[in-house]
Amino acid sequence: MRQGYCKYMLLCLLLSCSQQIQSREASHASVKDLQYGEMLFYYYQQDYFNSIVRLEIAREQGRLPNHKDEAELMLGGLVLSYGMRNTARDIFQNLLDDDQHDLSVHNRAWLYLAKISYQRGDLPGASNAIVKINGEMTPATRTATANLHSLLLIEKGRNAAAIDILKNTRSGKHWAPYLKYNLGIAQIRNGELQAGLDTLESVSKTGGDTPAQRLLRDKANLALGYSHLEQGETTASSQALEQVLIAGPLSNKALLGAGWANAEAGAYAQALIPWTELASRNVTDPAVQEALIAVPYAMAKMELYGQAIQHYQESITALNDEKRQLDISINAIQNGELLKQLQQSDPGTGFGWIQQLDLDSPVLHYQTELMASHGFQEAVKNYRDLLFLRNNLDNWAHSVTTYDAMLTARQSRYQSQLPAAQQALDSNAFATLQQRKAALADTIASIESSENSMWQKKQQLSEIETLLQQTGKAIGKLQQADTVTPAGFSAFNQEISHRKTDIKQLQTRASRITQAQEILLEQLAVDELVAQQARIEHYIIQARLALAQIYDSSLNNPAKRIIQ
Amino acid sequence: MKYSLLLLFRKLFLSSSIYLLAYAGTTAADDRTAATAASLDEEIQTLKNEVLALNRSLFMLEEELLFPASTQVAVFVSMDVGNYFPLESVQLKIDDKVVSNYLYTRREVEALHRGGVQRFYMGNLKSGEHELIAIFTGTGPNGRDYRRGADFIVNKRPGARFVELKIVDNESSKQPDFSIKVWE
Repeated sequence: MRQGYCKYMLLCLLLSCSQQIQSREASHASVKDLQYGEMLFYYYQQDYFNSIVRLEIAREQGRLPNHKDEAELMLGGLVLSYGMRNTARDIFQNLLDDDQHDLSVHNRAWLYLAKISYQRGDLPGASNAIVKINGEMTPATRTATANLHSLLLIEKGRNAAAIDILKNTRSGKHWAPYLKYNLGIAQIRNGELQAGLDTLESVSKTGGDTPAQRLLRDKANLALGYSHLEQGETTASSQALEQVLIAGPLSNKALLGAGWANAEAGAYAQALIPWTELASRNVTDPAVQEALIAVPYAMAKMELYGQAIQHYQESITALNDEKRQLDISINAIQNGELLKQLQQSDPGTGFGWIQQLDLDSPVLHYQTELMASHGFQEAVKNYRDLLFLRNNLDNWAHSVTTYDAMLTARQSRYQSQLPAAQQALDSNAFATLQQRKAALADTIASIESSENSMWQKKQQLSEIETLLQQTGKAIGKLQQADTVTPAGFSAFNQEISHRKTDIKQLQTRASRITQAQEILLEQLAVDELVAQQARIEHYIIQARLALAQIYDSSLNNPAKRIIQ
Repeated sequence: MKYSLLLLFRKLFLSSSIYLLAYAGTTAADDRTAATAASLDEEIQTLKNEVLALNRSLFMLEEELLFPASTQVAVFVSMDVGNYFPLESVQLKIDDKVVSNYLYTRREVEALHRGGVQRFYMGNLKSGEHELIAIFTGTGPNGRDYRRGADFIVNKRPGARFVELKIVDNESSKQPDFSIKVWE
């Protein structure tokens, strides 16, 4: 039974590792078209919406001659990151249907399709896609392919095949420890315990001081600790768990495990050290709640019954307080507090909403636990995207009205100037000038004698020719404007009017979907907190039972030291 | 007591995920919630697609209306490495008139470092020669304030003009260079 839990925990750790490889996969390309770089400017800020818009406009305007294939793959990746799996799948499928693309484009499209299927939980679909990847690959594609392929095999229980892939994949220095970590987990699941432990041991000794590298070491030590514990090797387990950073995100789990390693060895006094530390931490974490009853349990084992009773009672009080706190939070959620918090955070940022929350809000008390649930996290992402879309539509509704007014003003200015221009066009000024020019030319031909008058006439002729040229150009422009502009106005007017209708319809739909999403979010949050209450209730029952057992046995055996 | 130990030991492992899973996703109500979430997600995907298409049309309309191709000038800012210049702001003058001032956030500078190109200014210019002056400010080595300018003459011809202001590391002088490139 224990083996099963350990394996499940190891799988959880494995999955979280693979996500890191996926998220770090994107490499930066050298920019050969300005507009491609513009898309990257938004992408690197995780502003997927604007990067998609910029990329699509550049594509439509034909401004990506040097990034054609790359742009399609990028677009697919962007819409996938923006949660549009259906569109992403269509883009990659189109790339695959086009024989003109080279193998590297097809490989990357298959990899993305495999990821999409994997995210949807369609494991056969993901497996079908991943085996299509072949031939020469970039290191990033090779590593991501090996990673996803090994995960799929592990989930199917084909651990030996996963090990084979992981052992035979050459990856860059940066990714090697991540693949090695997955290898260690696969080996343990395949029953190659010693090999798995050795592999994890080597991962736990990898260098580097970035948060990601520290986290990987902690994960390796945690997996090592729990694997040793599963085998009853308590000393080795303690040693590994003690290596986990005391202030790191995995330290609560490590402290809990370290206590159990000692308790399994019968060293209850030693077990009390990590458990007491853990019991003093934030009680919203389930590991802390467990420590609250693990501490008196160890005391009872040491026959310190008086202290055990006192700690059980204190723990019951603390857990009851926590249950009440959960009631307050549930109430607050049902009164719209969660939505208020989410609405207050800036939807434009696309990230970091937790930092913007009101610290005094009862909902915030449980944000870590809520966000740990995948379903809730996805629902929050969608809700924030909806807030962004509504904001975007409202802004456009405003801008379009401005453009409408601007166009009307331009149109009326044009109309007011038109009669004068038309008059000039209609009048026979040009013809008069032409007649004068012809008359002058005749005069010049007839008076060859007087040089002075000849020079004056030629001067007049030259002036008339310049005037004729200028008037001709002006008439040309006016005639062009006369034919182009009214048509241009009407095209703009039509376009604006269509877009106004689109905006209105989208606003109505966005508002309806947002309301449904709000109901869903509140439901998910309340369900999660109710589940936590049920778990706390379970601990309280355990603590009461243990208390009753101590009282019972002291009644039957008065020699037991109830009072210390 | 051994029973209690086992229970606790079980919870030790369950605490991370299985225990929560045991509560979630098993009842009919939970299945209904999951189905609602999935169908809403589909609707949101479709909505995103349509709002993106709307934005595409409106941005293109806006460009045609405000910056017709015959007079359009777009100025971009980019960095090639940029190790020697922690950018803080850029000011752009065209024909001695300030047309844009921009103060960068840390994330924007990071995006420029990684190869992103920022559309800094869009405007209209008549055909002919125009003087562009870009003033870059930032904090240089030893916290010293940096203020460097680059100027360039742009010959505006019919058709949209794209100008790139680029911050380039000069390896030999260990100083930033500022260049202006006109894209055809």
